[in-house]
Amino acid sequence: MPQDPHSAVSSESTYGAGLLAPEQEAVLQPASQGTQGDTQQATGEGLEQVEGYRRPEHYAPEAWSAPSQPFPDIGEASFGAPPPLPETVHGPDDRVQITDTSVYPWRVHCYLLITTRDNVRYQGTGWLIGPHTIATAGHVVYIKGSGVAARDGWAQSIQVMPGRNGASLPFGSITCTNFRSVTGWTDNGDENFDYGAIITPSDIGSTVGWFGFGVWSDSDLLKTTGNIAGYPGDKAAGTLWYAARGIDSVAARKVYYDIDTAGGQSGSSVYRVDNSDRFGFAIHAYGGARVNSGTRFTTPVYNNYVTWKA
Amino acid sequence: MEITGTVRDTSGKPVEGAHVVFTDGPRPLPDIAAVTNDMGAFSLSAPMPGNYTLTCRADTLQGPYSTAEAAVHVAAPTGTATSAHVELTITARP
Repeated sequence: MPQDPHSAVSSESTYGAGLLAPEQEAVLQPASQGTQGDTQQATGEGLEQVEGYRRPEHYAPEAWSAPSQPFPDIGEASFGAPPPLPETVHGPDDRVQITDTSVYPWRVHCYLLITTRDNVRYQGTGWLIGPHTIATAGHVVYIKGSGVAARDGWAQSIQVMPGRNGASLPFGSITCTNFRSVTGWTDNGDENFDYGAIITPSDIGSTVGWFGFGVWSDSDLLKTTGNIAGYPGDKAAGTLWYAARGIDSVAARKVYYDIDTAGGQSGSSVYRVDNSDRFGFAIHAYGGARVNSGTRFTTPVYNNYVTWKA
Repeated sequence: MEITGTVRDTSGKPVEGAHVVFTDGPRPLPDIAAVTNDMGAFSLSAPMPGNYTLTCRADTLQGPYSTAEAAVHVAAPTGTATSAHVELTITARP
């Protein structure tokens, strides 16, 4: 019998690999604003309150309606002709820099400096979902298909820097070596299962807070404003950038959007603002020509993250 | 398949801590950035043969930043050759 691709695996040999919470009706996991520092309120329109930032009107979600036919998987479509291109900034670059990164919600986002088994370094993004758990992409914690046998596998270590702003590290840097993902990524390299987690050795989330997460229907997501903040490699080193737009389309395990991103933002939260609380509904992972995409929170994804934040 | 490269400044000195990202390629790509080591070296995975464009950015603590862009063709693997190499020379932006 084939293994469920959502079967959880860990870099720690003592972790109960293969554990998967049973299918159940998903409920929201709550957010927390932490115990230290200030909190910035959202606009009430599904956006973060950033001076001078307005969501581009031509992608207003009200202009979209639920598709009457299922969308093809863009990953499959990419192998056909004409292939899409990974220009991850679409049209005008809407990203704005966030400088008050010690304030909630910005301090929840973490700059990640990844060191692979063969000591090659990469930059990614993660976001706190609990006192000691950071959600990110699977390809951030587990290198797959690199073309270098000595590199593939769990990262050797990841330096986690919550709320980094250039040279400023308001909450320091934490060395992490304890990671989670699922067999759909670690065994198969399937982008539909490209999600993972970092377990921090200290409860940094209790200080800086975390985002909630949840599972929403297709029609609900298509009406949602997607927000992304992360650490793009095409901007000044270690600076946090934010953008928001409507959701372009959804598939069973993916969410597609034209929110501007760049390399280095893998693992960012794609989140919504409900009543001033932030809830992730996808994990940003891929840049494409027309749209970017992330791994959707479905019930198995949700259940794994609930287990990983315990 | 792997794309390897080296980032240097205009004097030929390797640049450590530069970020290298894909800005073009034959399919959607993981949105990760490579970070150069003390030899200016980096590596990015190319999931399929085709033409890729890389953009590099290097920042100093103060002063202007520098960038470079390069196009790389990754051929279908033949024998044991599964990588392409690129040299990036960054120039300061005003």
